[in-house]
Amino acid sequence: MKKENKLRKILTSKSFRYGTSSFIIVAIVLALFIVINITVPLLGIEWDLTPEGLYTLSDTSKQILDNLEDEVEIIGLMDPTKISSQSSYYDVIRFLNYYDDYDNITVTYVDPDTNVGYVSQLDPTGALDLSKQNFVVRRVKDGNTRAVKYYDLFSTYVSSDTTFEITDTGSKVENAFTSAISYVTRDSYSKVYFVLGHNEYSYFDGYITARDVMELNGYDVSSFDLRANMEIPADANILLIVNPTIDLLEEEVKLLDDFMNKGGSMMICLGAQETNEKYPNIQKFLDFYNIQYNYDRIKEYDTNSYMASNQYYIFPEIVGSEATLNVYGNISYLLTPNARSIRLLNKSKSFLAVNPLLRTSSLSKQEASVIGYDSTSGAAYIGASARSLATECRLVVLGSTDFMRDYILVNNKAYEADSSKFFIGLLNWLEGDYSRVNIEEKNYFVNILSITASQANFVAVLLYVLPALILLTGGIVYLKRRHL
Amino acid sequence: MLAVARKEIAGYFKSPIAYVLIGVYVLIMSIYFHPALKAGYGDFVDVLGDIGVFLIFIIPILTMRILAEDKKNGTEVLLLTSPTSLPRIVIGKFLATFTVFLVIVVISFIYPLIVVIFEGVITIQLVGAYIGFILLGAAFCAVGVFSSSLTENQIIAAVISLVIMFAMWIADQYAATVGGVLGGIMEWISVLSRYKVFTDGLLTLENIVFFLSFTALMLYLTVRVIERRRWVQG
Repeated sequence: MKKENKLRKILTSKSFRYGTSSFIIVAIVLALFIVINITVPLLGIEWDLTPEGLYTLSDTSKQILDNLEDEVEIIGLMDPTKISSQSSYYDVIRFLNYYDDYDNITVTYVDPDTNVGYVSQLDPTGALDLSKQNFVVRRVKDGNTRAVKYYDLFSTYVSSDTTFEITDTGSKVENAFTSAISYVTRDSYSKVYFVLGHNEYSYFDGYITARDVMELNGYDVSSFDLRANMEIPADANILLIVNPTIDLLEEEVKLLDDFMNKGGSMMICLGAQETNEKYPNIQKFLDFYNIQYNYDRIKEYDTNSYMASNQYYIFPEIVGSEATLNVYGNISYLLTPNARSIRLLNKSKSFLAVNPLLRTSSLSKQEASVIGYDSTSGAAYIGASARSLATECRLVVLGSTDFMRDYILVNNKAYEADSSKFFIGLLNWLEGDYSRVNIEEKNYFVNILSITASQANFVAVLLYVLPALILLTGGIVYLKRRHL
Repeated sequence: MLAVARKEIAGYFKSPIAYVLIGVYVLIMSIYFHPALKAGYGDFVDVLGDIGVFLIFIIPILTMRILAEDKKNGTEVLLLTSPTSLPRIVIGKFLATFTVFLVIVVISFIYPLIVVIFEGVITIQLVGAYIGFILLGAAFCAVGVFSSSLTENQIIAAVISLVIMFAMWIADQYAATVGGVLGGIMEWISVLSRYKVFTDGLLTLENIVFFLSFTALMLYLTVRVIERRRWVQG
């Protein structure tokens, strides 16, 4: 009886009643806090404030994803809950949510550490060379697969000092995934071959960046030795001849002619060289298309048309034509170091459509590089395209190899995006496919100030005077009021 | 509410504490901005991203006395018996600490101004970063007010708020190590990952609502703590 009374007393006490009601109210408020914060993210309301549009799918991507008919899986080889918000992959995972919103695309994550054997199941031959933190894009119906790795996702800069610190300078996340989706859902691929045998650059030597750009844009890249094999692969769609240092043989030219007569496409890049090498057979090949290389090196005298440090590092004007249709007006500065000029012939060939692509300023000078040739001055072409109306073969001739050369791009990072855009634009024209994905890399915004060293030092002094003044005011207040 | 806020703000600026805290924080901002300026860059968004962590050390000192002092001096009774309701008193005290924080924000505008003077660009991303910075400051001020309500010892109050803020800041670092559901929860409460979203240039309703609701929750819990004391004391 006593116990019952005590219990009743406790239960009816003011503090118990208050405590209980208080506990319930706090629990309700906490639940409300959690519910609100679980519900609001489902609305997915967000605003991309970055100047580069880092969190926005481009219209090109949206168009491709809207029209996607096949089911596509994006598999991240990682545990996303173990990716720190400070990691670059955190942004990738965040961006992939935009892809996951599409019905035909599923984004999943598999941690290879806890799912041993999954990688070999995904890539039985090991051709994709997968490792942890890679992504795989796969068409569900036939398992057509493409790997996306770190260097496909970010542009990086390696510091040239002793630290060799790697800094991300831009995001290629959208380019990488949309291109991969576009690639795996294609039923046929364009095969680009680097022609070798004449000391040319290739996708593994000098043009590695070009290969990456081509692969990101859905091209299969390979090479073959024309001199050794005397045969052009049957599956070749586009041939690239980049910076040969010796001429082609007549037999090789004959093979190229045959290739072109069957509707093939080709890009020849030959910049200025420091040798006396002449290329009569290449010239003979080009003669058919009313294009000829000159033996010179272009030096610019128009201050707006060259890099401040080097008059041979020129910025030619892009001439609007069918081959530059995709890029005309979208390129700010195309850096073409060590370029040679080309000339267009006036031989009457009604079956040919020949157009200039790049033009130097009227102040430029073409300095002869081979004995027996004269220097000239005035505006000159350093690129041209030709299309045969009869066979539909397409040709691009450029008087520059360095515009896409790794060495130049690494040391002039700011111009890489424009060079890549120009290169891919020409390749797309060669392939005759304007619908191909061409999503620009998103270079991180850099806020450059117009400030001299002495101005910076003066402002720096002010920056430290300001907090000193605030602290001094605190000191004065303390001294005045310490006895109050 | 405003009368309480005004009284507390006057208290801050009649003592050296506000000047010292503002001065130290502005000094930190200058230290972070200086190398970029020297290199010819004017990216204040990165600076805002880097200096958020120092609020963990500044705000506990700013807020430690806001309620603990009343309790220690016995003036808490006067507040509780005043015609102003308890929530209004708590909000008034919070507004006072938040105003001092906003003085820091206003002074920091000098850095973007320098960027503009030297032909740099003010992007809308900076506006987003400032929104994040202000929301982070509000949340931390609320944590500080809550901590101050728990004890009459100002040092303990400062330590409690520092521990809470620090735990919320580093939760994200350990979330990646822990992984799984627990890691997910740790990331959810992490203010670092949420603040980073603002400075990265993505303004999300999710994070705005989180910071606002978290601030409101802290202030509500502060009211409950003081009310509980009132009932316990009879």
